[in-house]
Amino acid sequence: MKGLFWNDFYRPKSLDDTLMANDIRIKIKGWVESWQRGEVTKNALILWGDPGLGKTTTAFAIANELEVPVIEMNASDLRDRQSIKNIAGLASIYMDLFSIEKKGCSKVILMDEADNINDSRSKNGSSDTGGMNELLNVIRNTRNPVIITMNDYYGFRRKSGGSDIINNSLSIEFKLYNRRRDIDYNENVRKLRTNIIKIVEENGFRISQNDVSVIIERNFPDIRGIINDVQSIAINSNSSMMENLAEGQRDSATSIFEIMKEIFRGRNYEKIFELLRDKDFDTSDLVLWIDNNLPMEAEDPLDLVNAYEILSTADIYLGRVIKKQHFRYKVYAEDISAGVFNGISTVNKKFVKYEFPSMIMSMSRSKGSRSARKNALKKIGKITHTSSKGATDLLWFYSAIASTSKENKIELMELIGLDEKEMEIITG
Amino acid sequence: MEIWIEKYRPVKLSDIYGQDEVVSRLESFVKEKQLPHLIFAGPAGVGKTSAAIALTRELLGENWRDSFLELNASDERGIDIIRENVKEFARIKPFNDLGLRIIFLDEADQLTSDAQAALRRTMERFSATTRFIFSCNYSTQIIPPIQSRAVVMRFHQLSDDDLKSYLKFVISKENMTLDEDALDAICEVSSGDARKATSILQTLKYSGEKSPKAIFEMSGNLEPADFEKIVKLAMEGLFDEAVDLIEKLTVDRGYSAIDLIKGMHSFIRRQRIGQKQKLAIIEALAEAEFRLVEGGSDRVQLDALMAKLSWIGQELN
Repeated sequence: MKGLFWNDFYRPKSLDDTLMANDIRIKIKGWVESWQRGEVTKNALILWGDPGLGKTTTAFAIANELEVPVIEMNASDLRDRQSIKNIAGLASIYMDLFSIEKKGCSKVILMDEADNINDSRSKNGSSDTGGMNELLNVIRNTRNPVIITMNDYYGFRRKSGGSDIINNSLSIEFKLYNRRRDIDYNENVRKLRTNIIKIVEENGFRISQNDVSVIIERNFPDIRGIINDVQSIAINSNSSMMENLAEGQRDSATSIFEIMKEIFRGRNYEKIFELLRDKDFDTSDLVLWIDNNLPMEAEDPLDLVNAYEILSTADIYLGRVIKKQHFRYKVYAEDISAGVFNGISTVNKKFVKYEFPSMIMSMSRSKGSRSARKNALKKIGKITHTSSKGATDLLWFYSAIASTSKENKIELMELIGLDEKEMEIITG
Repeated sequence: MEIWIEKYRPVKLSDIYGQDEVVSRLESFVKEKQLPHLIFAGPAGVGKTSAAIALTRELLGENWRDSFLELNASDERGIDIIRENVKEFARIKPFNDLGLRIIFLDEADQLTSDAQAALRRTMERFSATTRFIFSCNYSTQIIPPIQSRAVVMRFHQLSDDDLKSYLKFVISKENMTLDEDALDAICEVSSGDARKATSILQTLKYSGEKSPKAIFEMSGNLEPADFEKIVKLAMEGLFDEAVDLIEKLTVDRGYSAIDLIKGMHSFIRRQRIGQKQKLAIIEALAEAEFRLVEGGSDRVQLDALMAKLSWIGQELN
C-alpha cells in the first residue's frame, strides 16, 4: 500500500458512509430512488461546491447504490463534441445487452469537473469545441443517470449552453454542514476522525487523536486536504507542525474539566448549557466522561442509582440518533446527561480529580482479544453450521472438552483450526 | 476427535427426529423435484439447518455442495456483503439435473426489514435458478413480501421423548451407558435443544462423568463463574470492583453486555435469595437489556446496572 495517496483508498462505498449534510443526502437519495423506481424527472444531477468535499466520491457511491459501473470523463480527457458523443453519448443511450429487462439503468455517466470544459471561445490550445452542446444532448437523450460535478457553478452557467444544462438537471450545492458546529458538522467531524485513525492504522502508522482533531479543525470541510495533511504528518512524523498547535489541545482539556466541575458541583443547569455551547468534543465523549467520574461524585448508593438512571436515559437517546437516524435526539442526550446532578442529593465536598475515561484507552487495548474471540467463534460456527451467536451459546462445551486433557485440547485446536490465542480466549 | 453435533447430524430427511409433518412435506418436494422458496421457523436446535442440508442433498444429488450456499445473517454484517456473496454464488453454473442452487440464510430474522426488502430484489433477480431457505425463530420476523413468496415450515420444539430417542441413538453408537435419570437430567437442562443435549452428552463421555448431579452442575457451569462474581461484588456494594471485573470481561475477553446480563440472569434464577430481592434483580436485568436494545451503550448501561444491584443488595434484604 505504501506510496499510494491515502485519498485514493478513502472512498466510502455507500451514500450513508459518505460525509455530507443530512438534507443533501436525502435529496441525493431521492434522485437515486427515482432511477431505481424508473420514475425519473431529471436525467442529470449537478453537484457543485468547493474542492475536496467528496463530490466525486459521492458520484461513485451513487453508482454503487445503483449497482452499476461508472463511465467517467474528467478534465484530463478531451471533451469536444466527438469524444463526448463517442464515450458518454453512446453509454447514455445503449443499455447493456443483459440488462434490458431490468428497470433502472446500466451505468452512471460521470462528467467530472465540468466547469473546466473549454468550449469554443477558450484562449488556450486545448479546446473542447462543441462539448457543452453535446453534453446537453447527452442529458436530454440519456437512458442512464448523468452526474456532473463542478466547483464554479456560476462560471459554468455563463458558458454557452450552461444554463440549458442547468435547467435540465437537478442542481445541488454540495455541503458537509449548513452551519459550523451544527449536528451535521459535529457528526461528520466525528466520523471523519474515526475513519482517519483507521486509515492511519491500516497503513501501519500511528497518530494521536489530538493531532487528528487539530488537523481536522484547521482544514474542515476539505477532506482531501485533511487526509493529505494526515498522511504527511504520519509518514514524516513531522512534529514541529503539531507543536504550533499545541495550545488548542490544552484549551479543550481544561474545558471538559470545567464542565465536569459545573455539572457535579455547580449544579446550575443554565450555566452548564452555556459551557456546553462552546464545547470542543462530542456528546458521546461527554457521556463517557460523566460515566467515568460519577461513582466518585455520588457516594450514596441511592444517589448513584438515581444519577445513573438519568445518564442511562441520555445514553439511550444517543444510541437512537444512529438507530433511528434522527439527529435531534443528540440535543436531548446532551441536555439530559448535563442534568445528571439532579440524581445526587448529597453533594460531595471532597476534592475529586476528574479522570479521563478509561474506556477510550482500553478499547484500543482490547482490540486484539476481541478479534481473537470473534475469529474463534467464526471458526467454530463454520464447522458446526452456526452463527457466532450460536457458537457463543456452546462455548462452555469447547472449554469443557479442552479442560479434560491436554491431548483433547490440542485435537480440538486442530479440528477447529484455532491458534493459541484463540484457544486461550475460549478456555478463559 | 469429532464434534458430535456434526458427527450425528441427520443425513437424510427421514433421520430428523420429531418433525414428522415438516419432513413429509419436504420429502414430497424431493419426490416432485420442485422447490419453492422456504421459511424454516422454529427454536434453536430442532433441525432447521439439518433439514436444509438434507433437503439439498436429496434434491440435488452427489454434487450438492457446489450448489449450496450457507450464509449467516448475524455474521455477514450488512446486506451488501450478503448481496455480494449471493451474486458471486449465482455466477457458478449449477451442476445437477435440476439446474438449481439453494441459498440457506440462517438467522434471517437478524436482518432489519430494510435489509430484507433489499434482499427481496436480489431474490427476484436470481429466482429462475436459485431458491432461498430462510431460517428464523419466528416467521413473523420475516417481512410480508418475502413471506408471501415462500412456504413457511414450522419446526416444533423437540418433546422429551423425541430428544431421548435421538440421545439413545447417539449413546448406542458411542458405546456409552447412561441411566434413565441422567437422560432425564439432560432433557431438563437442554429444554428440547438437540444441539445443547448432544454437547452435554459428548462432555460426559470425555470427562467420564455420568451422574444427574454432574449434568446439573455442568449446565450450571454453562456460564463461567465470573458472572456469579459480578453479581456478588455488586450486591456487597463493591461497585468499583464489579465495574473493574466487567471491564476485564468485556475488554479482555470480548463479552458483550447482553452476554453478561444473560449470564447473570441464569445465575440469579438458581440462587436461593429473598424473593423480593430476586424479583428486583431480575427486573433490573430486564430493564438494562431493554435499554441496550433501545440503543444504549454497553458501558453506561452496565455501570447503571451495577449501581442498581449494589443498592438492591444493601437496601432489600
